[in-house]
Amino acid sequence: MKMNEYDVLEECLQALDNGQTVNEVLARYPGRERELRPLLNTAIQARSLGDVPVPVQFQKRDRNRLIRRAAEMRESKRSQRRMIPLFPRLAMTLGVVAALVLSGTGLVSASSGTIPGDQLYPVKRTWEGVRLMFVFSPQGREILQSQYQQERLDEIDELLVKGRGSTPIVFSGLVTQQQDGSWMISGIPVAVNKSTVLPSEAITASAPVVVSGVTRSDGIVEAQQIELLGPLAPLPPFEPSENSEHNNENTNSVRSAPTVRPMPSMGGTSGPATQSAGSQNQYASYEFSGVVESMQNGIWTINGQTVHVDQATIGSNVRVGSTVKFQGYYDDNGQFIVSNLVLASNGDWTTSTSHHNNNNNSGENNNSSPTQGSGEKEGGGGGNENGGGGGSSGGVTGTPSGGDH
Amino acid sequence: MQNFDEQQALDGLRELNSHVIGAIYDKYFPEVYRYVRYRLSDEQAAEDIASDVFVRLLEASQRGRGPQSNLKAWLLSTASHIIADQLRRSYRRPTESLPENLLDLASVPHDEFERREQTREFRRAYAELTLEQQHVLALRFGQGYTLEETATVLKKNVNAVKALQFRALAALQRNIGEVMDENE
Repeated sequence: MKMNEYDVLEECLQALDNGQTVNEVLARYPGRERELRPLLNTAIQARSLGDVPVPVQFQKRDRNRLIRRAAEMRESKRSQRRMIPLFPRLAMTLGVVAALVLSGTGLVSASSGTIPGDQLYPVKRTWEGVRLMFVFSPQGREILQSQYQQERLDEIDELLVKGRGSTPIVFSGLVTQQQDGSWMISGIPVAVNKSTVLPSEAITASAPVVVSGVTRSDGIVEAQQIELLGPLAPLPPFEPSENSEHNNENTNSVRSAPTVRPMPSMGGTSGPATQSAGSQNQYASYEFSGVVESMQNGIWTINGQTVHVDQATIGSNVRVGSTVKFQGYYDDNGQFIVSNLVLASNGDWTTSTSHHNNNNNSGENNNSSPTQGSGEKEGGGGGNENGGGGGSSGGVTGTPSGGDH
Repeated sequence: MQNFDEQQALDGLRELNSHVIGAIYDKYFPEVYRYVRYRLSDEQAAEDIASDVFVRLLEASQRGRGPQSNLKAWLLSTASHIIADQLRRSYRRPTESLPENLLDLASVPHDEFERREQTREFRRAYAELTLEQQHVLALRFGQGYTLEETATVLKKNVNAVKALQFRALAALQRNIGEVMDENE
């Protein structure tokens, strides 16, 4: 057993693998039993230790952690791409600004109303990038990014309304509705089919996502890929605030588009949401606006969306055709349950008359202006159930309130 | 990604595609965990290290130092390096480890007691091997890899693996004898 002792051992190990006993194996190598037997016994013992169970619960948790980590890295990579060092950034900015000013054609203002596919659209996007470079406070950047995300949604809306198909688009938003292959993401109808690349983690209602796809001429976005976003990804606000620089571009504070929009937050972030007592508070709260199209037995249609108002506190003078704003949440069945609804022209959520209100709601308002989002209150509609104390709980962030992502 | 395509997985990994990363994790976590668990008796440490391997995979792929062709080999090699670091640290600060489930020993049946004793002796003897010997035994006997698979992970040729496993088994057998002598 000099030259090929390694081969002999390997042959013996393979014979054991094939089900032979140690004695049967050793019988093939007479004269080598003394050397081989202890090695084979040791090998058998070594094999017996390999049979360990995998900790399934740990694996599940760890997998989620890893996916989250990947999402964070992806986000950080995207921000790093934007974070060009200061000097080159300034030089580049000045160059672009000079080019735009010297062109003397008012390119920027001409491009402001463009949508993807228009010739001047790249100018608009470049200008957005330039503006972002000049915003140095993280909060300011976040707000501006959020406004740009809203702009993306507006552009897609316009593409869909105009029936302009085959335009590649990318936007981020919150999943507000999932019915088979028809999803609603921040008010954009999205078709999800077998070829859509989805993350392995389940996407649930209120999850922040990025959608890549193309528009279809029938007014729907066909999703090619949907990715889950990290907890601090910029998302569009509900509507441009009164102070928004986009205000002059969007004078209609209540949209006439056939969709409703969630308001993740004023700042456009969707971090882990605060949770408070109250059964509704396990859900993310949203605010929408739209035109009431029908009112039947507690089930209303607003901008084509069916909402349930049985438990809602409803302001006065609301009728079919009224433009309203309302707060509520998606329940486990994906139905939108309205908690407060008033005329959009109301400055706050104060209601003078209540209808369909089966709860013992006091009608206290949440003191949240439509443009300030849910960041100033907690629990959305559930705030009333908390004796008006919801807003005083700690940890309230600019998020879909009461959300449980 | 029902049919796992290695090249597609590597591409998706570089793009930090969640879907692909989930698929890689599902495919390789059990193997990585079993490998680490074979090398270390500490279950908690095994979980931490197996988890760390996948985080390092993400980080390395973003720095362009991730696997170029063989994911499994990269993952197991990384696991081996992390274990080696951990063992080096523990050599510098030696602590006497307690027998597994020490508190239960009084209440376990004789056969079970014997089995645990054998396992403990085996682990002590195994820990005395060189890191490379531990590595090859974990792959061949812990994972049940063929000679060829083991050679790929170790980046050695098959004959070298045969020699290494022979010497590892012989050393292990010798160590077990010594451990048993000490106990007697």
